[in-house]
Amino acid sequence: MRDPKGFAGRGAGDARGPEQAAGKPRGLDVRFASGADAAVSRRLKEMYDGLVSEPVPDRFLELLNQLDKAETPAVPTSAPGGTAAAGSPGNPAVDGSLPVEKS
Amino acid sequence: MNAAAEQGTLRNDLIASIPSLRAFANSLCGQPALADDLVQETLVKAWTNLGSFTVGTNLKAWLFTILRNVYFSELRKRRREVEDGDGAFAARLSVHGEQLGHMHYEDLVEALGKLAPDQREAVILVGASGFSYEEAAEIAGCAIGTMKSRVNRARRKLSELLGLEPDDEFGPDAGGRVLAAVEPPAGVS
Repeated sequence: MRDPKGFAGRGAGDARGPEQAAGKPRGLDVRFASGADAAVSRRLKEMYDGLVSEPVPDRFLELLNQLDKAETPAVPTSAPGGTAAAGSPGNPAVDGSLPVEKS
Repeated sequence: MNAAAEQGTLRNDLIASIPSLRAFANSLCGQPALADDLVQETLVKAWTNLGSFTVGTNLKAWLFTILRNVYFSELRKRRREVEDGDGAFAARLSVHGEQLGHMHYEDLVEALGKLAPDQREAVILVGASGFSYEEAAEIAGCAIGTMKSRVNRARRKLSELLGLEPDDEFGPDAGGRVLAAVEPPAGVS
């Protein structure tokens, strides 16, 4: 989703040693400081970006259409103690917390 | 009217988030069929709990939180059923033997599957999804320091598993292996 080129920069900035922060040229030279880490990050990012760009199966749009027809969801909270109850008489489970399953 | 318009916008935002959710789910579980089930459950939960989402906050992070909670609760459930590791978990769910994405990433998917789930989640959120450590920590429900250490350990472990060394960023030469494999044994006529 985000600029792939930004990834190398961020990777070098967050947890790397001073070697890369010193402004050494990237690309092939990246392997000298933490080449393995950079390579892992690059591969991971490539795979992920490939996955993000895959077409969305129709089932998800159909699902949302069905949900749309089936019930009116709770109105999102605009402010604390807002209008969450409006339009959602059938959804008493909404209590302001995330729908987390208890562990 | 206002509420309806807001709901329409959120619906569009939900739709726009699906590709990211699928990428996250696939990276987490390595099983396309299971990943889409995770995304479906996430969308249903998100839709029925939109009231607990605060407009103006990070919808993507909210959705990722729901998805990872669905995944980890599923993981715990499966672990209770069969007390064995990720390998058996994956094998059980790999009904059609589907490969994730292109063959090019097979080794990476396999390596991700060998990580502890919390480390896998960490390296995906920070290293691939583009979340900050702070956001990732909030999604995973842990401290920032914990998130950083998980990401570092995951990166190190992935490097090891992929055979990546500082002077050899591409690892073992897969092309060479293939050539060696198809070469007929000497003496065979």
